[in-house]
Amino acid sequence: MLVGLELGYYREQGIEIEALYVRALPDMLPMLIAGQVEAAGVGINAGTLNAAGRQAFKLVADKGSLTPGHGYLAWVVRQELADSGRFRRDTDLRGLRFGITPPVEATQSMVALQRLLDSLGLRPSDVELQAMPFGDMPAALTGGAIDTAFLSEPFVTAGEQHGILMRWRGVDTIYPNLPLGLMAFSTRFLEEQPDTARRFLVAYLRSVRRYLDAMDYGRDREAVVAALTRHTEVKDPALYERMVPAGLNPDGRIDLAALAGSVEVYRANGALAEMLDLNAIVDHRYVDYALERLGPYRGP
Amino acid sequence: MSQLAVPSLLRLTGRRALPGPLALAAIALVGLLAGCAPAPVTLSKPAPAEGSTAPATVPTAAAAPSQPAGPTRTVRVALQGSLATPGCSSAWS
Repeated sequence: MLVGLELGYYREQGIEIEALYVRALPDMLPMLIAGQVEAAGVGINAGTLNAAGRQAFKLVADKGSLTPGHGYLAWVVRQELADSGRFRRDTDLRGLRFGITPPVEATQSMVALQRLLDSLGLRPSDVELQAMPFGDMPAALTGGAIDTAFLSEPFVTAGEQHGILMRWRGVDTIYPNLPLGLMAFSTRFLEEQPDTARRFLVAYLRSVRRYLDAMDYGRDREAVVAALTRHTEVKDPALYERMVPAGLNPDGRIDLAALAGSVEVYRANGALAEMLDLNAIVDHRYVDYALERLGPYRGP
Repeated sequence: MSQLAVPSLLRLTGRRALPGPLALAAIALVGLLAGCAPAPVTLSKPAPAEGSTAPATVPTAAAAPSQPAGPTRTVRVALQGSLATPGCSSAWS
């Protein structure tokens, strides 16, 4: 998204982007539903899917997935536990205080954690869940308020650099291709400006591909990092050299099977009252249009 | 920064004081986190419609112009900051 903004992909499509940064998902969804924004990069949780189920907006493209090698959400362990030998293998998770973002049972982190616990023969009651945002986790690990967590970049790399935590596993190795973010278009935007919506997706997909070319293959990496440092709050170019990059589908499509798995977990956890018809809330026609224009991704 | 960070850290960690090296590292991290905080939300007037209120349809690529015709459209895009949920990190791309 932001790479294409810097490199003029949207302008080439006759689109000016006005980027609005909001603190958290609960602030974003009302803006999208009210038509105060035409598009949003939304994190996935039960609330997002529930709102989409009311036809307030459509989910139109992938905007962040744990594709193999892109564990930008990582299982981290307090360094002290690794140094002391308390934590040496996955099953040492038992009995630890686990930091997880709220709303705990309704998050993709919980979907991944439940898969991890299942694979280890553990139950949720075998860990002590502590709800907190990513921003609080490094300090909580520092002081021992939590022992372990699913933590996102750039906090993982920064925490490692400061000796606070150890990256144990990328969550991409626990739940490959788990979607974490989606591009959503407001219903009003789709009704009133369908041509603009199509052109937006062309520019967006070009942007995604340019990002992956740079981060996965090193092509024009400096230009892409310059764009990211200019448009994001992560201003240190050196940090991009060490962080695990975000995973994105270069062909834009949302992994419906993985999303259906999340719906199942949310239902089981009581976070979703009704079964959702994903075919009614996901609209791939805009991605399909962009793919017709750009062809499938083949790498640089 | 540190004056603001330390009480918050102590509250989070449940400690009355942090050991020196840990405190320094934690304060440095809080500085990074503060740097990641998103800008305040600003809103502008709604973008003009394209003149159609028909249900959304997606014409075939052949029917679409190869170069955009007509006035430039403004699209307002909401993105999450780094302190929210996992999907927010993909805002970097």
